[in-house]
Amino acid sequence: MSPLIRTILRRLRSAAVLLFVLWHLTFLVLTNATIHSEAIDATVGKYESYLGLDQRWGMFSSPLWRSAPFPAARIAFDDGSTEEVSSTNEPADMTRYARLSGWRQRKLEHYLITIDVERTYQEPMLRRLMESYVARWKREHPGDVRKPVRVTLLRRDFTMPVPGEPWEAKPTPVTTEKITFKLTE
Amino acid sequence: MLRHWQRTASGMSTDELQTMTNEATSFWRDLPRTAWRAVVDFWTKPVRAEPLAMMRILAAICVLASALTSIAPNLSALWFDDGLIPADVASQYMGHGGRFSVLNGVTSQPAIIAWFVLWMVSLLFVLFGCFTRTACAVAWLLALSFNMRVFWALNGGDDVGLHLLFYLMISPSGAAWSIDALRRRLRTYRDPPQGFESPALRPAMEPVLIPPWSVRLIQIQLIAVYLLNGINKLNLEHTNDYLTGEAVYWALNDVSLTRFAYDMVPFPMWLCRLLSWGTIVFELGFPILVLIPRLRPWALVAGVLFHVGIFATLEIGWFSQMTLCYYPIYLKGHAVERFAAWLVRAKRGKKYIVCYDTFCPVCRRSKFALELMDVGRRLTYRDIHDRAAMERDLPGVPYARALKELLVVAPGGKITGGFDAFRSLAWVLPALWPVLPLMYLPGVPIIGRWVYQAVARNRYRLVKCDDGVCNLHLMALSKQTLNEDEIAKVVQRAREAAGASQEAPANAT
Repeated sequence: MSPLIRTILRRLRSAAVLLFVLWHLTFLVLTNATIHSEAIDATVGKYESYLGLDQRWGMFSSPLWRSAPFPAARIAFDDGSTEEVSSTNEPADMTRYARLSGWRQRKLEHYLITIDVERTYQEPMLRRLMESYVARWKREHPGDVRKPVRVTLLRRDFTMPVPGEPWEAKPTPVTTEKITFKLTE
Repeated sequence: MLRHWQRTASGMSTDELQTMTNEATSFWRDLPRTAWRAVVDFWTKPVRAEPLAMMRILAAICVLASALTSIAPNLSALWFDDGLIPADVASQYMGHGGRFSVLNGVTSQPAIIAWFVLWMVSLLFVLFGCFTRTACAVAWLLALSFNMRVFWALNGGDDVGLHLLFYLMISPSGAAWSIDALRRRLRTYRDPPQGFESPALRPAMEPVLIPPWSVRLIQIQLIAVYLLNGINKLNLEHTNDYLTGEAVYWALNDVSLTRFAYDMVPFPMWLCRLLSWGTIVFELGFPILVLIPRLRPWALVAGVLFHVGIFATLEIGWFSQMTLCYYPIYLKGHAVERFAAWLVRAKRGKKYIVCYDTFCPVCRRSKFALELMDVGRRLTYRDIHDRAAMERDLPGVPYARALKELLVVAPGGKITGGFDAFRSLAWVLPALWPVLPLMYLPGVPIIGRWVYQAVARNRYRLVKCDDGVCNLHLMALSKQTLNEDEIAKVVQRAREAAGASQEAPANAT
C-alpha cells in the first residue's frame, strides 16, 4: 500500500473516530438531560434503544416507596370456596428473613402488579403469572379434589412502619384486586 | 499573587514589576492555547492499556456470573415461550420500543439454550482476551438479545453490564493481559541469529499504549451514571427523603428489596441520616473528585464502600458489582500493574527458578511467553548449559533430564519438570489462573504430561535446526546418560561458532 493511501486511510479513520465520539457525547447529554423532540427521539432515541444504551439514571429517587407490594392469587373453586396463594417472594415473617437470590422474579412480579391492566398486550403475562400460582397450589395440594375455575390477581401492599416503630411479624396488607381470569383445563 | 502584591506595596524594583507583568500577560495570552492543548491531550494522548484490560476481565467475570446465577436458572420461567413472558408479548414490546434481539420471535427452547451457550462461550473469550473485539461484539449482541426478551425483569445491573460490553466492543480492550496481546508480542519475538539467547537481544517489555478516546467515553459514562442519579435524588416536588435523611431508612425497610429483615439489622436513625446525606454527597461529588488526581483514590474508595454497602443490604442483583467493574478505568496503568503484581506477591522476594534450554528455539519462545505473563516478576531464569549454576540450584539433576524438559524450582525447593513445572508456575501467573483448576482435574495431569513429552521430543522437528547443538539434543532425547564433557564441548563449540562466547549468558535472569 502506498504511503499516500495509508495516510488517507489513517485520516479517514481519525475522522470517523472523531465523529463517533462527538455523536456519543451528544447522545449522553441529550438522553440524560431528558430533552425531547421528534428529531431527537428519531435519532438519539433509536441509537439508545437499538444498542441497549438506556440512560436516564434515577435509581432510588425520592420519594422512596412507603409500602412494599407483592402479588397474590385468589383461586375460586368449583364448589364455591376460595383460597389465597401468596408470592414465594413475600416473606412469611417480616421481622425475620434473609435472601440470597430471586431478584429477577421479584422485579417481574413488582412490574406486573404495578402496570395498568388495560395495557392489553401484556395481559398474557398476567395470565401466565396466575397460572403459575394455580400450578403451585396444585403441587402443594395433591390430594385436594376441588377444581380451580377462576383466579384473581391481587396486589398486597405492606405498609412500612415509620421510623421508631417496629415491624409486625405478620402485618395485614392492603389488598387490591387487579384482574380475574377464567381457568380452563 | 498576594505575596507579589505585598512585595509591590512594600517596594519593588521596576524590573521585577516588569517581569511580573510580562509573566501575567503571557499566562493569560497562553491560557486558551494551554486549555486547548489539555483538551486535545485528554482525547488523543495515548494511555496505558492495563486499566482497560482489568475492566475487561472484571466485566467478563461479572456478566458471566450474573448470567449463570440469574439467567440460567430462570431460562424456562422467563425466556422460554411457555414461561411467564410469551414470545409474542416480547415481540410486541420490541416492535413498539424499537428494540432489537436475535431472540425476537424465537420459540424453540433448544435454540434459546444454544444462544445462551454461545453467549457464555463468547464471555469466556472476552475474559481470556481471545479474538477480543469479535468476542465482545458477540457477547454484547447476545446480552442485548437476552435482556430485551425479558425487558420487565431487568434492573440497573443488567443495563450497566450491557453498557460495559458495548464499551469493551468499541475499545481496544484486548491490547493487554490477553491471549491476543500475548500472540501479538510473541510475533515480535525474533530468534537470536547465533542460535542461543543473549539477554541483550531479548525484546524490550514496553508498556502497551492505546488511543484514549474510548477510555474517556467510559469514564464519562460512569460520571453520568452517578451525576444523574444524584440529581434525580434531589427531586424537590415532594418532601425529599434524602434531605430529611430518611431515604436509607425507607430503602432498608422495603421488604421487596432487602437482603435481611430490618429488625434483624436495625440501623439507628442517625446512621440512616448519615448514609442518606452521604449518598447525595458521593453521587454529586464523584464527577468532581474523580477529575482531581489527588482526590481520585478517595472517590474510588468511597465508591467501593458505597457499593459494598448496597450489596450487603439490598438483594438487587448485580448493579453494585457491575458498576465497580468501571473503577479500574480511572486508575493509572502503572498502579493497575502494581496491583496485579501485588496479587501474586504473597511471598515477597521468593522467586521460582525456571531452567530452560537457551539453545532450543521452542524453549526460548516459551520462556519469552512466560516473561510476558509474569506480571509479578516472580520468575528468574537459568541456562541449563551453565553447569555451575545448575549444580548450585538443582544439585543432582542430570544434564539429560534438563535437556528433555523445562525444570522449575519452587521457592520451597521442590523441583518439577515438564507439565508439572508449568502447573507450578501457573500459581504465580495470573493469566493462567483460569485454567489452573483444570490442571488438577483427575486425568488432566496424565494427558498433560504425555502431550508435553510428545512436544518436547519433537521440538527440533517443529523448527529449523541445522547446527550441532540440535544433534546434541536429539542424542540426549534418545539416551538416558550422556557424557557431560562431550555436551560441554558441543555447547562451547556452538558458542564459539556464533562468535559470541563472551556474551554467553551465565545467568539469563
